[in-house]
Amino acid sequence: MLSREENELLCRIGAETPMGKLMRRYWMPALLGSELPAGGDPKRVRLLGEDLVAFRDAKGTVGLVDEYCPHRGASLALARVEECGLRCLYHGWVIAPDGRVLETPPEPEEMGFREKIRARSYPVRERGGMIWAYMGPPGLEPPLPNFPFCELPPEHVHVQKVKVDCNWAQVIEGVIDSAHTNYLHKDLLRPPAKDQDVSVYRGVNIARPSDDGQPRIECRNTNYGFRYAAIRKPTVDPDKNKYIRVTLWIAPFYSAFPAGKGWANIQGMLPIDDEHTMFHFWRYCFDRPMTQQERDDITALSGFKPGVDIVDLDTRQLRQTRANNWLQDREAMQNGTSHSGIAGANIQDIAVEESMGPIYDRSKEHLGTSDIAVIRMRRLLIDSARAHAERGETPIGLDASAELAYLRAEEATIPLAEPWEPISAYGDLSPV
Amino acid sequence: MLSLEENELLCRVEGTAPAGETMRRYWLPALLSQEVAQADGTPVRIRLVGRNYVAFRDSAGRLGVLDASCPHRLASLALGRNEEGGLRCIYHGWKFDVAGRCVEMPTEPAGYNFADKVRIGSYPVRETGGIVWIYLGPPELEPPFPAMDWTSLPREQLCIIKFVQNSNYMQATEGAIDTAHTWFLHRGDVGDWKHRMSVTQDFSPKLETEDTPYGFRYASIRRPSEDPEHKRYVRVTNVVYPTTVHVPRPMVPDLLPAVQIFIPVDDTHTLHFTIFFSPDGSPVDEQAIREDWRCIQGEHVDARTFAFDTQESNWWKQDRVAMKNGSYTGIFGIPKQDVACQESMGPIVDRSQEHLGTSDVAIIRMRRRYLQNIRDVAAGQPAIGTAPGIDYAHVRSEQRIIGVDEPWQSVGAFAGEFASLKR
Repeated sequence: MLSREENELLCRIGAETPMGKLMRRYWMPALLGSELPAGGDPKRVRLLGEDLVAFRDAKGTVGLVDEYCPHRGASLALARVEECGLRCLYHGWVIAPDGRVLETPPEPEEMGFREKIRARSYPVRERGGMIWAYMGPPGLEPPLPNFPFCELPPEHVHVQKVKVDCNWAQVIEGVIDSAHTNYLHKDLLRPPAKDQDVSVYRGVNIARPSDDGQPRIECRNTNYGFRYAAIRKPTVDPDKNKYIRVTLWIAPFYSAFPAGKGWANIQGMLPIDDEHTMFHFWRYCFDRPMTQQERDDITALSGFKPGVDIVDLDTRQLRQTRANNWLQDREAMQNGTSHSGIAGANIQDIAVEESMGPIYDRSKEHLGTSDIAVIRMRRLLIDSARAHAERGETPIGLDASAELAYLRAEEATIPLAEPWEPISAYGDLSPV
Repeated sequence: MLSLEENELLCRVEGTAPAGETMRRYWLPALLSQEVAQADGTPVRIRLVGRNYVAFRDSAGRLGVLDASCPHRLASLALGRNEEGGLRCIYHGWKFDVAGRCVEMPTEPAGYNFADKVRIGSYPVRETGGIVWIYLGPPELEPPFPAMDWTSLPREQLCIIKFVQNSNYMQATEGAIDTAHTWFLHRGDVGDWKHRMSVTQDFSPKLETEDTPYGFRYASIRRPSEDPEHKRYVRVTNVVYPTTVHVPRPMVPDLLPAVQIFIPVDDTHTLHFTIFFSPDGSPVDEQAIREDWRCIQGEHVDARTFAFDTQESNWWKQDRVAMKNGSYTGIFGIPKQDVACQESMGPIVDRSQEHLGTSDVAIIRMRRRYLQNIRDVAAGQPAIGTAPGIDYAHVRSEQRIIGVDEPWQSVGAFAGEFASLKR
């Protein structure tokens, strides 16, 4: 539970808000590199409540500038992409990737009018198949995120991106909430088959050696955010062993949870504005390219089939929305073939997250012991946003020692007496 | 650039906003005669300056415009039955004539005379050459009808294109007093493009403006390719208040003169009319213009709502492949290019964010004059152009090459008349 004031502080990310200022200190995964091919069209991007347009000029330079022409505000997403920038259709002004105004054809050049104007623009970098943007104060850019997938060839990586119609914080809260998986995703989790090695993985991993729906949560703060263990009774030998799943929260809006051996994944909840979020799901295989079958399995598990579930590949709009009750199938619920009546693991998450409303009111909730990780994340973010806004302190996770390339989220079954902390240990702020 | 406060004052027309009250002091074109052609035909919904009205032609062929809501319990009379000399609300059968009198009230006892005490708002109507005009302001302030040269022409000598765009009226109006953009956005598409290119290569016009009793006019002055030392190429545009823009008559024979009118539907929608007219009596090929402008009724323009097929939701059907193959904008049809740009700014553009240059001088001065008019009307002054005796029929926008010593005011209407005020 949060006060209304703290709830606002946590959720709102406009340029003048404490959380908006905090967010702007991190690199944002603004676009997939594939959304901006060489010779392609300009693309509208709404980020942190700002309307922007991204483009790749004829020289290959990527620009991210204010969507609206500084002259009279026509959208530059309508513009022509030319050698050195975007040419507005309306009066032919040319805006360079860095926001300089290169031409104002209706104006007499000798007056130097154009040199006095600069379009808002943000630095961009490409890494790991993503175009990253920095929207904060110049000179304070942190190093680019070096998530493990950033260094892998594209054949090893599978990325999904869909728009979610609610505030970013309730989307990330859905990922650092181990307990919900036993209920919301009941249809998808299965005990391992006899002799099944759960570490053998094909991109999706739904076999769990435990059906314990009351996990105990323990957290440890780290230099990138925090990590927590969900501790469950295993199906086999529950009086001797415990089943541990370690999940990472990586500031400001990423999370990683266990995948199979040799595999990993990260989710990221990029705020489009206060009431919309771009959900990213990167899955990757360290030692070999992914097969097409594995990619298809991932798509089927998530429920994100392009052209079917993702009805608009430009806006990443899903077919399942509040307006159609996320296509919930009550008949399937009644005849026992489905627990949630909603197809697709990630569609199930999105349905409940959107169902809370555009900005969930945390002053009305009732949190239990299984919500400890959610409570921890809110506390860390709110404290960091305040310390940053009031005292200029370094935002959480931007500690220079945090090497994201080392991050792993793992699962293991260990003896009851053993500590869980050595599993996926990296970056803890205090020794075990 | 305007402050946010001035921007709101200029743009907002709903409720009792001052710009709306000012707009209601003028005769406004509201619909096409063909929409209400039939006696006892379907009543037509009109939303204008943020309020809802209903138009109908009664059994005797008289045209009425009433408030849309039945005064009884406010059901829309656009649902009503148009029969036997009036419009009958389908809810409880109350019936109103074109003058707004309640002529039947079947649910009430006859002896009460309640019907005599109830009236619905009704508004003066005029029809000229296929257009229905209405006056929505205080009855005692009804101005003379602005009879312009084109308003006296029969329908056959006109091409009337009507559509609704999804932006504030001011964005649309500014597009029509912005000569510089036609050299870019409409590159190659305006009918006299070849002629323009033969006359001048000057894309950076100098603008001069002048207030007039009927509103405003401005000249765009360019260096002609031929003899630029001694000549200048002048295009004069007149604005008849509130928002009728007389486009400079083409210098090329066979091209028709035109006016454009922008009436607020509400804060974020605008009713657009472009009227081409044939002053010499020859008939106008409306279909050919509609094809060229991609404004064919039923295909590009919705037959009832007058919405364009090109909308932000389909990104105005911009064709990027065509842009690579030589189309400048990838958008086809001149008004669709304008509307795409204007709608892309958002429903009400934030003018505190813009950067205006010398080519925007007409827009800057025009906003000042609009704001002054809005403030004056709010302070009880008459609206610009509503005084009797203005010779609207004489207003004419022209273009010509003149000597450098000749005043630009010699081009077009009232030649020399306002020049004398200036000197």
